[in-house]
Amino acid sequence: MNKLEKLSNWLNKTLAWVAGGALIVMMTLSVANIVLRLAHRPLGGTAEAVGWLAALTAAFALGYTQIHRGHVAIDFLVERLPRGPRAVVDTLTSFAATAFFALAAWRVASYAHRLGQLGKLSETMHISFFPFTYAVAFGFACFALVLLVDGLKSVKGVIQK
Amino acid sequence: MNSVAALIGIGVLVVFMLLRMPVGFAMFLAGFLGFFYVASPEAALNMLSGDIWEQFSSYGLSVIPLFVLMGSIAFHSGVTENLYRAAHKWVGHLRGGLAGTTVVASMGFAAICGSNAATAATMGTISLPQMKKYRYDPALSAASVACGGTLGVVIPPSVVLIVVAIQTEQSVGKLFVASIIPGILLGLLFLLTISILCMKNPALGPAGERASFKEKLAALPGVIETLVLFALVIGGLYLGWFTPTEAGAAGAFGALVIALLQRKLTWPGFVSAVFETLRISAMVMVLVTGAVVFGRFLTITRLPYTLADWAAALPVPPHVILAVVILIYILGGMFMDALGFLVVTIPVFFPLAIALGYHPLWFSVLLNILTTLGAVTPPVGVCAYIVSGLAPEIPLPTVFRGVLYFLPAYFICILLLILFPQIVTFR
Repeated sequence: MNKLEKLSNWLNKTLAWVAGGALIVMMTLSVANIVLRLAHRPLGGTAEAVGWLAALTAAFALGYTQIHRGHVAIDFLVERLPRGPRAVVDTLTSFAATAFFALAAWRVASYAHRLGQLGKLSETMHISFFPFTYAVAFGFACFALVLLVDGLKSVKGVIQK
Repeated sequence: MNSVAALIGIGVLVVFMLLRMPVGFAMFLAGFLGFFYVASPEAALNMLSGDIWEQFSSYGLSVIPLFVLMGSIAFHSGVTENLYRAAHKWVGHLRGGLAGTTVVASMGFAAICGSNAATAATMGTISLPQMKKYRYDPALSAASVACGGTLGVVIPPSVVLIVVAIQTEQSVGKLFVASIIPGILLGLLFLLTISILCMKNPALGPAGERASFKEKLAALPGVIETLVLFALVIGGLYLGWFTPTEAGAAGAFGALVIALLQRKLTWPGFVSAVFETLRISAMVMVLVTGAVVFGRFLTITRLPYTLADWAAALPVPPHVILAVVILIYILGGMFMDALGFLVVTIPVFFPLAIALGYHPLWFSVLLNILTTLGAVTPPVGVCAYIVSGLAPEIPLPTVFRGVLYFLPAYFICILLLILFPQIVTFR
């Protein structure tokens, strides 16, 4: 359990650093495009590249955000429950979320596979973008891992009760 | 039949949310299960992968992390101190001047930051100790920070307005511009509230020392950078120089350059700004994509349109229906985070408002003000919690008592928007 949590934390923190890098590149690329457009001519395909970087930024930050309890939830009702029932509720919702986002990761990965097989190219730069789609799927898989760890921790709470 | 499925879906969503499942997750799951049932399992699975990829890689949505980054860099580089110092020199000598200073500085910070929690946290750190020093009434000082914080999402740029614009397919730039005057109006109403309170009871907020005109002028350079950044971002967006994403990038870059020139941003501060941006952006993206999935489910059930047609045909004036919608938003905002409540309800109420003949920009600005009110009302008032956290000697009930002073300002602002929609639409 501890090992799984450590692995999950390390993996998601590493992804968050990559997401931070993508964010800074996205900002710099957009500003460079403005300057070049004013001075000479715009960088072709900036919108596409910014979209892919935005996908990396958000998808790679999902797990990190969950570790820091950054996703908005309404807790005034569950907070009023005794510890035991609260742990049961948390276990159920965590596992439901784990299953759902694992399914989402699998579906996005399948979509990426299909894009690769079809040889789908981007509209402006005419390059394959399916690796970014795979990256989003990986972000969701790591996010599901954090949710799984949360669920296992809640189970521990139920058992201890 | 499909309307029944939609109502069951909404019920399932509410149950998930009440079980503390994050709002975005709940919308994802309820929307997916609903689509699975109403359309087909295959369609639901395809919708899921397509929507996730489309939303996450959307150029339009890439504006969110960039505007959040702009606010986070400003937050970590001490821009607020300059704003507070300048506002203090100009209004600090009046009765309740420090509370007024807090509101004016919050308005300034809101012009570069799109979050109410960040605005309240930033201003509270500086102003609460000052107000304590001058023996301000705790309820007034806490509420001026909490309510001033709500201007963070009313005065553009605003993360909430960006999400509303994207969800309702409106121009981010136009919505930003439409919200400027209502934001300033709300800020001025807060100032009026403080003046009236302190006129009636001077002990609530004793006057500070008067600054000379020279000192007032000398304090201005501290706010010029903020004004320039605001003018660049909003002006550039309105004049069509930038796309919203570029405006966000230019704003973030500008905030970074200013912070570096002033030598106010450390490496740990920069890293914190980036990681804070990631947390907020991921949270918003899950909310937005979850809302898209849930919205698709509602769309195939046709519930929003059925509801809009039904309400439009009711033999009552549109303002009566609007009053009910306003009440729903005030009550909903009390229990849910503003953004969460908006993304859940917009698919239902936006088509209704349009069917009733209300202007999309006007309705969006109205919703924004209504839901931001929820950030200071019990039981789930984020800004109130922040203030109580920053000043543990001020208990939460005292913060909420102080907020009561400011409620008329919100209601007057809402009433003025209803009576004079041209405040938003300019026509």
